[in-house]
Amino acid sequence: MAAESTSTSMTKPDVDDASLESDGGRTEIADAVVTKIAGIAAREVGGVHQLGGGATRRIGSVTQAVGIGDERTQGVSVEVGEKQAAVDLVVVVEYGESIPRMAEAIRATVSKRIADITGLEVTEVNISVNDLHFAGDDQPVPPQEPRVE
Amino acid sequence: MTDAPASARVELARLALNAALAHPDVRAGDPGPAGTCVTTVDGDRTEGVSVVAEGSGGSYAVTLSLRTRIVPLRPLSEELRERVRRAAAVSALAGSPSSIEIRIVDVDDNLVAPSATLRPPL
Repeated sequence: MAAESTSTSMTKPDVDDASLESDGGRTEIADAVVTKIAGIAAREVGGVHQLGGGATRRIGSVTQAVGIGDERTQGVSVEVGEKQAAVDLVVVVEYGESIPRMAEAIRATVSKRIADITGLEVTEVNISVNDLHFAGDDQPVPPQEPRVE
Repeated sequence: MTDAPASARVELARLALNAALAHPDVRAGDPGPAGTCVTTVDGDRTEGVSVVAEGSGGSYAVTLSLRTRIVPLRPLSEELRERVRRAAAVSALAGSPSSIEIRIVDVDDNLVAPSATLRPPL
C-alpha cells in the first residue's frame, strides 16, 4: 500500500519562553528524549495501531525479542535544535478511521506533549501513513480441513 | 580509594550529582552518548557529572547528564540548579559553580511521575 504523507507547519505553542538557556546555565534535551515523547504521544491517539514501516516493525520485533529494541521509538525520527524540534512519524492506522482527522489529532497531541515536557517549540510534525490495520489481521488463521480423507 | 582529601573539583562533582539524584524525578546519572560526562577519581568512575575549572578564580562549570522521569523538564532543570547551588553553599563551596548545564539524555516512560501535567488521551 502506498504511503500517504501529510505535513503542515505548526503554529507556535503556548510556551512562555522557548529558550532553554537561563542565567544559571543551559538545559539540553537529547534526541532520544524527544523521540520517546513523540512515540508515546502518537500512540495515545485513538485509531493509531502501530508506528513504523513494515521493515522497521519486523526488525523491531526481533530487536525487542532480544531486549535491545524499544517499540516506543520505532517509526519516529526527530531533529532537535536548541529551541525547536521537528518530528517525522510513520504510522499504521486502523481501517475506517479518517486519516486527515487522525493526522490533525496526532499533530496536536505530539506537539503539545513535546512543548509541555521539554519547552521546545515544535515546528512541524510530518506524518506518513504506511499501512492500514484490519480488525481481523491479528487473528490466527485456522488450520484448513484436509480436502481428502 | 585513597585517604587523600578530594579536590574542590571532585567534591563539587560528587555534591552536584548527589543533589540531583536526591530529586524524586531524577532516575540516574548517565555518561551521555559519547560517554564523556564522567568524573574519574583513582579509577572510580562517577557517571553523569563533569566539572571543569574556569580560570584560576576557583569557579567551576558543572555539567549534569541525567535520566529522568517524564515530567516538565525546564522547571525540573531549574530546580536541580537551585539544589546544586544550595548544596554547594552548605558545604562551603558557595559561588564555585559558575554555571550548571543540565543535559537530559533519556526519560523513563514506564514511570510517569504524578507531577507530570499531561492531558488525557484524545
